[in-house]
Amino acid sequence: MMLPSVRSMTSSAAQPSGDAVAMVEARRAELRAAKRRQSLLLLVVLAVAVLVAGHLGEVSWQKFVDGLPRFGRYIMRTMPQLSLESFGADMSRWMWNFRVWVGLLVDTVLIAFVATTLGVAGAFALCFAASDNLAPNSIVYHAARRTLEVLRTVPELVFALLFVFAFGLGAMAGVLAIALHTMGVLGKLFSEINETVSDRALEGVVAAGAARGQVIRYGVVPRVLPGFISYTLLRFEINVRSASVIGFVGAGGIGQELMFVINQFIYRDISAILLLLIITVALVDILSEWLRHRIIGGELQR
Amino acid sequence: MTPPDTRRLEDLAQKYPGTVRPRPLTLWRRRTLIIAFLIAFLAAAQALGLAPGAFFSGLSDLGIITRQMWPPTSKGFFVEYLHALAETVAIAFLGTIAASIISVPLGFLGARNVVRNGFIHFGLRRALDIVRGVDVLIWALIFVSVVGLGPFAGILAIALNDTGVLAKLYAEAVENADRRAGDGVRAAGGGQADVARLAIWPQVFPVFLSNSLYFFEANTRSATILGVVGAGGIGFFLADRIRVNAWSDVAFIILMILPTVALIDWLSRYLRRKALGRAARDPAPVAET
Amino acid sequence: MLEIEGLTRKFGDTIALDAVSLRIAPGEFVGVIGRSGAGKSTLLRLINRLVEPSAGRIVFDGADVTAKRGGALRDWRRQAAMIFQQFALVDQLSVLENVLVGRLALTPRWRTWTLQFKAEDRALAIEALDRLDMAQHALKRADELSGGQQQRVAIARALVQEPRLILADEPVASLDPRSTAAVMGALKRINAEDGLPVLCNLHHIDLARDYCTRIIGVRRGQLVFDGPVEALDDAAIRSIYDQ
Ligand SMILES: Nc1ncnc2c1ncn2[C@@H]1O[C@H](COP(=O)(O)OP(=O)(O)O)[C@@H](O)[C@H]1O
Ligand SMILES: [Mg+2]
Repeated sequence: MMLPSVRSMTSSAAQPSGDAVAMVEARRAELRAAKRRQSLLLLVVLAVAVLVAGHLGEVSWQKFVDGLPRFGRYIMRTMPQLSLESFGADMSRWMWNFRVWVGLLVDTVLIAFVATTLGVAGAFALCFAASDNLAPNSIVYHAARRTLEVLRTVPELVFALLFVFAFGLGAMAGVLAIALHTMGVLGKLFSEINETVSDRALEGVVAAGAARGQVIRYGVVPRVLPGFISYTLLRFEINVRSASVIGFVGAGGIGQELMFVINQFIYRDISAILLLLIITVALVDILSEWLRHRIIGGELQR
Repeated sequence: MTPPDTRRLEDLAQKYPGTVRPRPLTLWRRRTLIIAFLIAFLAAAQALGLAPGAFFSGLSDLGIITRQMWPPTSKGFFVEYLHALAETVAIAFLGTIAASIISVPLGFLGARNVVRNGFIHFGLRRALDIVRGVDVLIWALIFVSVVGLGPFAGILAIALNDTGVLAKLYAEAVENADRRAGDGVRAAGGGQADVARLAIWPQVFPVFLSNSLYFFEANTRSATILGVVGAGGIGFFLADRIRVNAWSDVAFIILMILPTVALIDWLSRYLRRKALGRAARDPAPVAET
Repeated sequence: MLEIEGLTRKFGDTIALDAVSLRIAPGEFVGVIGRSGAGKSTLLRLINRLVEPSAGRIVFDGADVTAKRGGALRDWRRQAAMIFQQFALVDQLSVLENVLVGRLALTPRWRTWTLQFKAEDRALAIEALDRLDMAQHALKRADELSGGQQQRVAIARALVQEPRLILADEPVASLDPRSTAAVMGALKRINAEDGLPVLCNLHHIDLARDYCTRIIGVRRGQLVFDGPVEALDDAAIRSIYDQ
């Protein structure tokens, strides 16, 4: 890195051999020019991309200028009227449907919990076949990889739309949708962890005559489990957020109620539900962080 | 070696407690945890009203849907779908760019080693937590209320939601930037702004770039569903075709989404590698959806 | 009796082992010496079937080892116990569990999923550790031990495999002199007490002289010396180590 002080020092020290300095300076100028040309080209490409995307995205300055104050007004309208004198009464008026909302939020967390558990089970079942160092053969390997890829590329909301049709409105569709997507995402991440275990590390178990499943159980699982747990908890946090919106398509949780109040412009309820949702999400994050430290710091990593 | 006889076995058990037979406590702690987890799982499933019967009958419906998906057809909507896909990518692209630009100043403001004012730091971090705690689809729904139906609402939703995550990641990158480099600038008489520009910026820029590219990838996935709430992109057609049970159209759209997402994945990975060299590693999978 | 006939292994253009034939009788302590890259590890790994031969045969007590597949192959690996330079333990498992890995091929598979073994197996593992003076460390995590201790755990794992043959690939190359003496002493004792043949790759000729009854010299994949330790004179050493 070029700090101002360093630069002045080097140039004065190199004073005696003027030619060499000139040569180095010339080469430097050349390099800088090349780099600048490259940056300029990149900038032009980026600018064109932005313009094209702006056209496709129907972006206009006018919309932005109009929209920003409207967003401000929207937020202001959702703010509850709370005063210090009648705080309790104001609060209970704002949170008038507290019990129902909390019930739906509990459902939301439970959906995330059940879906994460099922997704992890699926991911665990498939991740070893999807690791290039552990797969029994290349057909199984590619089949497992492609399956996981499709599962993680199809968004959970699309699964939810399909499942609401098949399983009916309610949590079942949401749980299955999030579980399948989680299986795809975690399966890929798990298999990447598996691939960090070298063949050499497994030789001790293989040479003792262990079968493939035993090599995985004794040589791989103990090494990868902390990573699996860490990713699983992170995914649980993300799934709570996903579970908050699958209700938009009728697949359970707080989403349906939230969509109703937003579409009906029931401003105070919007802020009330969002506040409760943010608190829920924060609590889940704290819990998950605590679990991560306990489990990974502890002895449960076999 | 052959297994020891009963007497020898008892001797060993006595001499090295907890080895020949595991200590009951170690054994039961594990078992209790597993049983407790299973009970929690079943109780949660019960509370949600998940019934095996409904699952299996739904499975047969799903089988019917899957069969009706074949063969996938566009019914002459191919160009419209293509346009909607381009719109999806545009939403993700512009949303990411907007979030990246907003996140740079926020990232510096939210870093403890740049802005030492604890109040600003705390306030900004909590504001970001709030933005991040609300799913992008909720923001999309709100922006549809504010600016109307269309991709513009989607762009704003992605920009806002990503700012919550990116600014936090940027702030952490700034905090992790090498302290000594900053001390060097300070020793040479530089102010706080010089430290940020000369010492921290060169170190954190690659991290910023890598994260932004990674988010572009993730946002392309999220943008495919924004249309479900009317915020633009291919999701509109997808939700619509599902609503009218046009399953072969649904299959066609999904088969168009898969390669598009794969292409953006590949592009983002290529650019990340190109921009950062070998050191390019995936950031934490927080953004992966 | 282990019989090897024309055993060959190629890696691309490299001939790691070139038509090696030899016989090893019960109770022998055979040292394999040669330069780095001569093919010593390849020989041992071929015998355990970690590496597949390009040509040649391995026969043990009249049975063709090179033809074994599936369960028979795994059972052979159990009988030809390997000891590695880097110990090849699983750091995250306890010492006892690492030793029990040696019982995997002798335990019904469903039993091994939960890392639960029968008391008899566990007692056997403890006894093996006791023989190597390691039983007091049984419940520690493997990575809490020193290198010499880890290698002794690896030997205990080999013992509970109920092996017919011990293959040690530079077992002391990563150890200090005291641990070296402990590990080599343990191998020698097992060789003497159980009558197990030991095939041991060694870097140091002095070690080979101290512990082995017979020496095999390998140079560029070929067997260039095979005789009792007394026959290993300067001329023989030069022929093994010179280019
Ligand atoms: N897995 C492998 N792939 C390619 N070449 C190998 C492999 N294993 C061994 N070799 C080569 O075979 C030769 C013999 O290696 P090795 O048996 O490890 O020698 P030593 O143990 O005597 O040092 C070396 O030239 C080595 O590079
Ligand atoms: Mg070797």
